Order: sequence, then structure tokens, then C-alpha cells
Amino acid sequence: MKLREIKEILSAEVIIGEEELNREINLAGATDLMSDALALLGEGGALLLTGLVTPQVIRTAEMLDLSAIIFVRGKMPPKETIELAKKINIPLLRTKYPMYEACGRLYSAGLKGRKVEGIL
Amino acid sequence: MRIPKEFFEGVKVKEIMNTDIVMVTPYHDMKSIQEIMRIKRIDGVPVVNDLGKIIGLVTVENVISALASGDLKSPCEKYMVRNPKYLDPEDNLYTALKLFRQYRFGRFPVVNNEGEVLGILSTKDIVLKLLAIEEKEVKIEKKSELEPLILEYPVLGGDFVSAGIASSTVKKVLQQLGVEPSIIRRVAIITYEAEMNIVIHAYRGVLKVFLTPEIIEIIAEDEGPGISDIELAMQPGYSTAPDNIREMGFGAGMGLPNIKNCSDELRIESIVGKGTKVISKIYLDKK
Repeated sequence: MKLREIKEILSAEVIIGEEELNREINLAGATDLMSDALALLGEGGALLLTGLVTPQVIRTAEMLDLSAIIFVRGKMPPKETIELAKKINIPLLRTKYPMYEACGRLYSAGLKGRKVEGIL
Repeated sequence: MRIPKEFFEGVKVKEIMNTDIVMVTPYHDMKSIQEIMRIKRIDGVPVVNDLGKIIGLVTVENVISALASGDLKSPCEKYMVRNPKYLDPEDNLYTALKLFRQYRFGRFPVVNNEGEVLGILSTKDIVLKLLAIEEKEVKIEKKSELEPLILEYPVLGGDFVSAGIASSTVKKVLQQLGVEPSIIRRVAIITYEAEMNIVIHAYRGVLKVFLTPEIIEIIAEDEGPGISDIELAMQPGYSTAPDNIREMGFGAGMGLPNIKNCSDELRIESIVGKGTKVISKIYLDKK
């Protein structure tokens, strides 16, 4: 799925990276815990949905080669976060939907997360 | 003997600068910088902000003044040269030498248009590299493939602003070397979690990465409180991190488990009240 479609589905606003909307997204994860992001999205080319807006989110994205980040519940990241994202060239979007709703919409549209076996 | 001006004009600063440099943030204490200078045998350390842009330079003279005042624990911001004079990577050696003569400094940082430090040019580099250039003209240098590449970065406890810069630098170096992306991501996760652990729990530490064609070894060593029960610390979800760390998305007790999952081999040594050493290995020739 293209980032552009994701933007439409979530009625999202592009904070930076308007010219990167053709990026292909094939995996998504949603978490406010950066260690969970590191554990779940290590395959590259993934999308992260998060409510966290600190520069650490961008550092994490850099480690994982994430394709884009979407901030939920209309959160606007601070200047430092945006600057850092520009530097590593990762698109930032924000949606007014809360985490659960945003994930639900993307999942229904066919965007899946990393496959994890269901039994502990 | 006089070397003609044209010779110097034909050599670019970027060709002879020392790129094996260590950068620090304004919060790094003078003592760790003194250590960096000793270990790396360098006499100038650029100070950058969290966007990697240069804001100062700590020189050996600055370290001496801190030492003379018995003040090595202070952050380098107090002693560094602010807004230092610098060279452009495209400058030629003639321009550089003029600057050396004008200011009588021992070294200049080399900074691009974005304000990023690419290297340092010291009088020592010029002398050594000039010799190398002459040598290259007569014979092709023998390159030893067997020598391991060692990357080393200081990490300061509590320095959340620059947390991740060391890992980010490691990642870029591995990319330049053409290491496979999936391996790079594993290394990045290990170094980043290990770096965050030092920032969160320790006073200071160092992140080292050894690279040979067969193996990547990552060592994160810190001076800090240590871990009393390593088995417990390895348990997913177990954390001793304070709340302010959790607000940044860390301290969820997944750091060590993540490191373990990405490593082919992991060893943790810790002495309570002294510090912790995490040694992680990734084999490159594994089929």
C-alpha cells in the first residue's frame, strides 16, 4: 500500500515529506514503546503509528529504516523532532484518529503487522 | 627546499583530513574528552548539537586549562572554543596552510555547508598525509584486509539529547562499507538499546564495534550501578527505569531481550556498584 493511500484512509496531514508519498508500505506497527518498535519493525520499509513525539522516535526510526511515522490523536511533534526527521528524510504525518481507531482503519484496508504466533 | 604553491593547490582538504574523529555534545565532561584524546591520539574534539551541527571545539589546550583548575568534571561547554574557525572540505591545502599561518592553531575542523563536521585537519595530518601522497605516487599501497575495523564512541549517562548519535554513526559506517541491510538493522538495534541502557542507567560508558569479514562484535561497557540479577534483567518486561524514561518510550524492560534476539551470541558481565559490560556477537558468514 502506498503512503498516499494511508494518508487518505486516516485523513492525515503531512507534516514533512509531501514528495515521499509514493513510498510503498508493506508492514505496520503501533506502539509508544520504542523497544517494542525495535522488536517488531526490524524488517525495514515499515510504518510506525505512535502517540510519542520525542526525538527518540526519529532515532528509533533511523535504526529501523522505517518508511514513515504517523502521530495519532492529532499530536504535533516539537521542532527538534521535525528537524531530526528532515535530516534522515523520513515522512511524518498526523491523524486526528486515536491509536485504536487509526490501526483499525488501516488493518481493515489490508495493511497488516508483523506475523506473530498467537500462543504464548 | 620550497614546494611549489601549485602542488598544495592540487590537494584538497577532504583528501587529507582525518575522518576518524569522535564528536561529543556540550554535556560531555572534560575527563571523558581527555580520555578520548588519549585513546584516539587526537588533539581536538568537535562539539555538536543534537542535529550534528558544530557549535564548538575542545582542544588539548582547553583540557589543560580544565586540568589546571581541577575542574575535569565540568561539561565541555564551559571550556570549549565556541564557533571555531573551520575549513571547507573543498578548500585546497594552500588555503588551509594560510589559515594555519594566520591563526597559529594546531588544527581546524572540516565542516560542510550544512554545518556537519566531516573531519579534522591538524598540522600532524598534513605532514603524515603529504608523505602518504608521495608514497602513493611511487607504489600502490598494500592494504591489509585482515585488520579489524574498530569504531568507538563515548556515551554519557543522562544525556538524552544525544542518545542514539553513536548508534546512528555506527549504522552509517556499516552502510558505507556495504554491509547487508538486515545485518545493519540488527547491529543498529543492539547498539541503540545498549546505548540507551548506558544513558538511562549508567554514569558514563563507551560503545565499541569491531568489524572483520567474519564477525561483528559490539561491546557496551559502562561505569554505573551494575546489575545484581542478570537473569531477572533479561526477563521481558522487567525494568528498573524511572518514569521519566518511560515517557520517552524506553524503560519498558525490553532492551536486553531485544539485544539478545538480535545477537548470535551474548554475554553480560556486571559488578554491582561498578559497572556493566555487554558483549554481543553477530556472525557474518552464517548460512
